[in-house]
Amino acid sequence: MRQIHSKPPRIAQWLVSHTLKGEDRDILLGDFEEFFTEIKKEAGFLKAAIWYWKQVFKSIPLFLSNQIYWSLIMIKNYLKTAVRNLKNDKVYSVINISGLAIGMACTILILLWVQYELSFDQFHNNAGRIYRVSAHYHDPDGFGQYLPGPLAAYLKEGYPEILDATSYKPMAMKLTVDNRSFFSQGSYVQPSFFKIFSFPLLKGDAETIFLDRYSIVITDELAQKFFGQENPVGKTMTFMGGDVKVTGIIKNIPKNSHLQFDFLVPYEIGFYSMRIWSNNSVFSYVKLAEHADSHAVSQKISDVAKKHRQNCNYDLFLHPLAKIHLYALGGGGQITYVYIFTIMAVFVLLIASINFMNLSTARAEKRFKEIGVKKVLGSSRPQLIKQFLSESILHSFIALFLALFLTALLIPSVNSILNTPLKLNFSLMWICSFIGIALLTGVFSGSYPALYLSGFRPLAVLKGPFGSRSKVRSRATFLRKTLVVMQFSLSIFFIIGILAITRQMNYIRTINLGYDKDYLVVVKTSGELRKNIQVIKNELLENPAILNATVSMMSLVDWGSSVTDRHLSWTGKSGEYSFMMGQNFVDYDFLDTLKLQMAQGRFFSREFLSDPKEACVVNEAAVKAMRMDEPLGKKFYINAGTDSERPKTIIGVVKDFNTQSLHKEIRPFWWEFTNSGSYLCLKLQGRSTSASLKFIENKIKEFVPDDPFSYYFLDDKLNSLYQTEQLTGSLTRYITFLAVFISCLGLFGLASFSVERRTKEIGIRKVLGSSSSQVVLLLTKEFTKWVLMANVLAWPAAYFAVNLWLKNFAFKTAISVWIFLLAAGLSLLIALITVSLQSIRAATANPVDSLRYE
Amino acid sequence: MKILSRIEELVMLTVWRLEENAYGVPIRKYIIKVTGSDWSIGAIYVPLDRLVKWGYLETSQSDPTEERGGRSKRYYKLTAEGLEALNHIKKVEEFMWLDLPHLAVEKEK
Repeated sequence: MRQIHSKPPRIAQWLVSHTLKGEDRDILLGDFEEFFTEIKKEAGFLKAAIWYWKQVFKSIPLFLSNQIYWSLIMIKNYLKTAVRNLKNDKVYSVINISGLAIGMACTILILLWVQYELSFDQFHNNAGRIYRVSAHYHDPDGFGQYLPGPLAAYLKEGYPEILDATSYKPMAMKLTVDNRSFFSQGSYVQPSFFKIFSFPLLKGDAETIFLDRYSIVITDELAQKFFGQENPVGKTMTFMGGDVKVTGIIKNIPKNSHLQFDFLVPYEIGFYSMRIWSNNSVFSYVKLAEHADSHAVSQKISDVAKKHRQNCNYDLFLHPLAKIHLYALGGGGQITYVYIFTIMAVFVLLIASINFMNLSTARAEKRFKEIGVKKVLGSSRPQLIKQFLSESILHSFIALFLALFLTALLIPSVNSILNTPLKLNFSLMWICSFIGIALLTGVFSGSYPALYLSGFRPLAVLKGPFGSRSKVRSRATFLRKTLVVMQFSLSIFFIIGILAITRQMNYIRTINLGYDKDYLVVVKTSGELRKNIQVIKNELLENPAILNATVSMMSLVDWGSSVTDRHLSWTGKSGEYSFMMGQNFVDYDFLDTLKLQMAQGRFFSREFLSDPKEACVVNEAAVKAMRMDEPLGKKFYINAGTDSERPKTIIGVVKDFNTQSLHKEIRPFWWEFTNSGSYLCLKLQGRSTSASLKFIENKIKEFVPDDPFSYYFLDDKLNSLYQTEQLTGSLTRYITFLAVFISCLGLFGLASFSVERRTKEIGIRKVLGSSSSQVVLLLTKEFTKWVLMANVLAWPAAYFAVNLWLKNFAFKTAISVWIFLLAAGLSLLIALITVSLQSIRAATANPVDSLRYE
Repeated sequence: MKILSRIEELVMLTVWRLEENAYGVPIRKYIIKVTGSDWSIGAIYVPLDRLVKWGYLETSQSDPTEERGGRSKRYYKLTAEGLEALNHIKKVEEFMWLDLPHLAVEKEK
């Protein structure tokens, strides 16, 4: 017992020995123990132990702060050396830092964008409990969000887990105040809307806001537009021919909300179709109780729609609010781009870091002597490692500041390309991540050079160029080659990507859609014009600049409504079918205005009086989907089997044409005749479109003076269908350019080092009779080999990635060999230009200069 | 030349006084005795360490001894620079105390 109790407390000793280093540890433990022994002799073990613990607690903070103090002094010293080295080799530092800065700016921008994308709809309180009710169709398989209007109210009544539910019926509507009208995007909602979502109300009370059914809530922006500085609450606006009173002002909707609207009106004043179960046109949002299990609720409500209507071919389920923007229901969606660009950000940073590694190992050969001398004078390996790490971290922090500057410079143009409200943000989280990025790149890119450079044996380093130094050198060269190859593989991967994207987008732009989309302008008119539309059309056609015009019920680009095959019937329908068919109503001039071609039969004609009632025209895709051999003259029944069945006769087949996104196949379609509709599609003469537009506007104003004029060019609208792709395209182009540029910076640096190292060799070669071109060849051969190797590595990966991306398109280009060859050629050309700058200089130098010091 | 702090000065003077026996334990004991307040081991070690790093003290090690759990002592000795720094601080202090005017302090009653 005495033996055990004669020693100082173990844990206390352990504590002391872990706060001190090296020799000090032993000496101080000795001092502690000597005092301890003395006190033990005088006052016994217990007192001594208590004394020991007390001392430990008093001393440890002092030990720690002492250590921190001295390591700070060391860091100051490391930094001083690092700054000296930075100044010593300016070319190297500039290449390094600018590469890192560009890479970091790129990463920061991408991170800002990613954060913006991820922030969608997160600003609502209880965002995690809000869901959109969605539909899963069986036949054909698919997803949808348009649901019957009464659903929300039913769900709120019948399920205790659902705290609140609202319908949401978006619609572009005309609002008028004192003869001033604007088309605005609005929505019919129930009062629950304000309980589910947290769009802040600037004026008005959420509880009473829709107490009166003729109320309207408008955004701040719209209020400014109509009322200026006046207080809009209590003012009257004209909406759908009736008066509504402004009862609330809502703060402008942030861009990162998937719900975008200018005004809200009570659901009760909506159309009949929004109140019946047999129409799918309304969104439904619900908020669940605090601990409700969304899966369980999804299960419970899955058959609600089926209970209320016949022929219902979908189940309901809950789709979380947070996922609406990012995740498409069938899989994929915006999240794919978030992933793609995050990966790209990492790649670009990687390329920049590789530059640093390569250049510092290459430069190591110049620093052999420095390291050797340091080691001989007693620097330990950890000290050298710290020295090199602080150099790289210094580089990365300078780069960070430049990068932030660059980012601030670039943000406005990025915002205009992406249509986003990104801005540099110095919240604690972002500052931490900036510093994190800098530290990470610094440590990552400095770790290899630090380990490699500090590992030299001083004797070998100082002895001369032979012996073990050349071994070290060849290992380093191998690594450097690998890194350059990797870097170039990434760049080539990007180049192939951008070539493929450009090609596909070009293909989409120039593909023969089956009709002439140029100078087609679509004018959307309000309901009031519908009766007179043929009159207006004829008056417009008197202007020679308007070549042709047609009226249609639904927009030509949007899919409009579509019907599953079970509501249709036709002569010879037998067996199983599963397809959706689009429908539209058009007048006689549809064919000529769009310059469509008939495959068989004829289009609606004024010569056949029965056409408006009895005829219909289908497209080739429809013929194929219905498996008809001889479509002409066959009967076609719409709303088959119901009271509203419309029997038609197929009089013609239009050659397939594509007004849809080329992501999708051409869908089956049928057209019926109409004389009235709200869309007017006009073919303009190529020149003076603005004069024609003015003419159209004036003409329409003659009929409905206070109607706002709203139009679009069909090809613009078509282009907007590929917005994401175009964004991806332009973003990828920038990133590719940066990646290639950074790679070239690295290559340039490497080339200059390798040329410098071989100055004497080149001199001797020239003295012995080499020509300049032979020397250039010698120097570029090596780099060419690397780039070719990088190509071989990049091709399979790029092929795979491009293939994956092209799967999004129903109409796509083949991935042709020339893309790969072009990428190879481009990368080789860029590399050669970069390298030859250096090698030509070396090759044309006078050998006397390079040899005279020998 | 760095101006020594009070504890640094005390430590150096103690090292000087203890001559051959100047290591951690007696240094601390002596300072506690003279100042009358309890200095922790760390509070003595930190200035010692600093003075060594500045080059005002040099160190040597003894053989391990039993009462220290088989660990050796570190003996301290003044260097020429150390002596110079001590002289400097002494001069500074003497000068500062020289010919101070009379200060009328009201004594508490």
